[in-house]
Amino acid sequence: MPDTVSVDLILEAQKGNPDAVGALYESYHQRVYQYLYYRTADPKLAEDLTGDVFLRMVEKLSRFQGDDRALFAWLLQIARNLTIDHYRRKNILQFVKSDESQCSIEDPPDEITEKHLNCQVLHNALSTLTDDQRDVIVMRFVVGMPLSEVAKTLRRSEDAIKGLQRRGLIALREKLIVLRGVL
Amino acid sequence: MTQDRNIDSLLEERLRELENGIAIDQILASLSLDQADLASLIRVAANTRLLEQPKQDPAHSREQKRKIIEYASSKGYRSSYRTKIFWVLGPASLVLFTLLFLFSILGGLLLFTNPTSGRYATFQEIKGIVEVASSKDESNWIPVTNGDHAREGAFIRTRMDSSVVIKFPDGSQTLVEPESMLSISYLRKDWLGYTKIYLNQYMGSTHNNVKNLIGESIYFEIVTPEGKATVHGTQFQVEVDQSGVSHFSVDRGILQVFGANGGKVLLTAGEATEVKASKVPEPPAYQFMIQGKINRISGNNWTVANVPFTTELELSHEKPFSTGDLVVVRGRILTDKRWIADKVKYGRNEKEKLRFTGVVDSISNDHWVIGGTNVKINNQSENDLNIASGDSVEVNFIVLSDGSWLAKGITRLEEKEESKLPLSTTPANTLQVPIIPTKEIEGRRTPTPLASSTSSHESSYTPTLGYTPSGETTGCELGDNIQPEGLRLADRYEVSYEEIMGWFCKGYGFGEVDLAYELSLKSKKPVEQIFQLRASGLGWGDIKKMFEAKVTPTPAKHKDKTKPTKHLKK
Repeated sequence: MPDTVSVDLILEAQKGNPDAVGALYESYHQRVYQYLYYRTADPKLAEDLTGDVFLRMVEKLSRFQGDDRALFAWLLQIARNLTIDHYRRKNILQFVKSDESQCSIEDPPDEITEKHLNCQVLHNALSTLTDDQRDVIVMRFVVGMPLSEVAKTLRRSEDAIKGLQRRGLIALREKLIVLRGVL
Repeated sequence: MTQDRNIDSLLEERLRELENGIAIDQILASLSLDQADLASLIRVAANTRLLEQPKQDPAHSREQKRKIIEYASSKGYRSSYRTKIFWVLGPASLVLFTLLFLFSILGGLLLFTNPTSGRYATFQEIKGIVEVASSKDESNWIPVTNGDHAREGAFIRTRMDSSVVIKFPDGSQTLVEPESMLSISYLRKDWLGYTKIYLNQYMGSTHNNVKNLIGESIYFEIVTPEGKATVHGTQFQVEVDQSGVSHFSVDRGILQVFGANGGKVLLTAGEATEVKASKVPEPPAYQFMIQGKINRISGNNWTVANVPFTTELELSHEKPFSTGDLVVVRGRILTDKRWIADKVKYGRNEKEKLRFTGVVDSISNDHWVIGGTNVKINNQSENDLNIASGDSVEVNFIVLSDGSWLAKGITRLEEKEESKLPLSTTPANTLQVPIIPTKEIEGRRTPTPLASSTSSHESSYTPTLGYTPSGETTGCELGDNIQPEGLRLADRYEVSYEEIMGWFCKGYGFGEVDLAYELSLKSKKPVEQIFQLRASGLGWGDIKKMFEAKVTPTPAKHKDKTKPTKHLKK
């Protein structure tokens, strides 16, 4: 997992030190956002929910115990719960295909070949997976969590996560072949 | 089922190898024939890992971070921690409290007996004349030397061309720039060991390096007539203008700025704000600094060193700047991208310096967009590695002949190391290249000693150390260039500019010249006599004491509990 933060920094943030809270935000916000991006298919909503995740973190941080990995797992748990709450409140389809993508901004359309995987393609392929499979794939390969942390975040056994991982990758492979001929 | 579990575990093993940096070809080659089906899954995982992932909009994330920090601030520092400690301790809290009480008494005793226990600040790196007094209006300012101490209640001022670093017990430091005045209104370590430092800044500039909070807790506050700044560990500047404006800016960390009449803003690295009398703080803005010659002045629109900006300052009445003058401009970059100058003053040397702060909007091979401004990059540009869109950076640049800007170096602000305080911008007795104001010298006068010479003071004192002004002050040889400090002293003491510069070029700083003439004026003794005493090795504090004792026959001063003269210790 990239970028680690020290336990001292977490302790300072727990005391309410604004500097430390800001540093935690800097360390984690992009990966939280990426998880939410693939979870919601809506960049704007993903941004709003990212903010909510960190506000919730500030509220509950004093009760947190653990190191940087545990903290990130906890943040993704909050993100996941907030997403579920959001869609429950809205009572809308959780995962919709989106034309609005930030993934291809740097790739002019003529450079996207049929065999070129971009995050729009990934995004659409992920939409066909079950929620659990998608969570595992995004946490493992987009935000870079170790399998043990994914298990803790999703409150499942490591064996269960391994199974979800393999089935998720199989489903993703099939969909990518259909969508773009990737692989 | 068991077979599936084995495959799941095997896949996970291979994926871990991928995470550990083993090449995918090597991993695929290690698969046996019956594991061939895993190859495409590993490839999917590898491609997903390598994919350029979406990123949050830099402007949004910055705003979001600000809100979250504000929210954390509003919840109050340490409150949750204290609550946690209380509940964790549970039944043992009573015993612990008793022990802490005993320790606090012991600590209190140590606090009062040990001068380095947290109640004293130390003067270091003194340049020119730095004085202390027990009140702002005190007539008896006493010059200090390196190593002297001051504690709460002390007022500190620097004269022209003078500066000092005040070192606090926790390691925090304040560099006081020339012609500044501040007081230490509170300086204590509490019984938990947390240092609290409250300063009042009345005029001039300070650079403050507050020790980082991580691992050690301190609290630092500076109050100005227009507002105040509070921090927990950061590097920042405060400038109090006599026109009723306080300027706050941050190099590292986070600064909360409050207006005296309400309002609060949060500054992060690279940002600045201004607080005008009776107003709330201006919204945070990134900053710029330009040192160079004035190319053009057209109303409020100026160009200095080929960089255009506007100013709303009424400069023409007080300082008649003209094209060709060497100036230093400091200002803010507003959200509508306008560069607004907040301060223009004469420059100290001719070296062009151009820099600004901002958020990286985009990065490409030959140019970056920072805060909406295009900056070219070439192989000479020294940029921090790992800078990404959304980072706050400081850009040092030059203007090319076609008007475009080329980055000399780009530094990520949050990653700036905790640096030492900058050297004072006006080192005593040193002028690299004199400035060139266009103002004509008016009313030049013939040197006129203020009083006839007597030798009544010297007889009782035998100096042990000689003081030899270096006489090597650079810039003296360039007679066409005028020093504004020299002009101001000439005006203040009604002597010629040449007389002032004569002392300066012998190696005395403008602060020393100022003090010598002030003493001469008060004591009616010739200024030469005062400089003679200094040259004989007598310190300015002793000289001042000697002259004031003779001239002012022991005026009865009111007793002040926090009189700093009593706190001065070596």
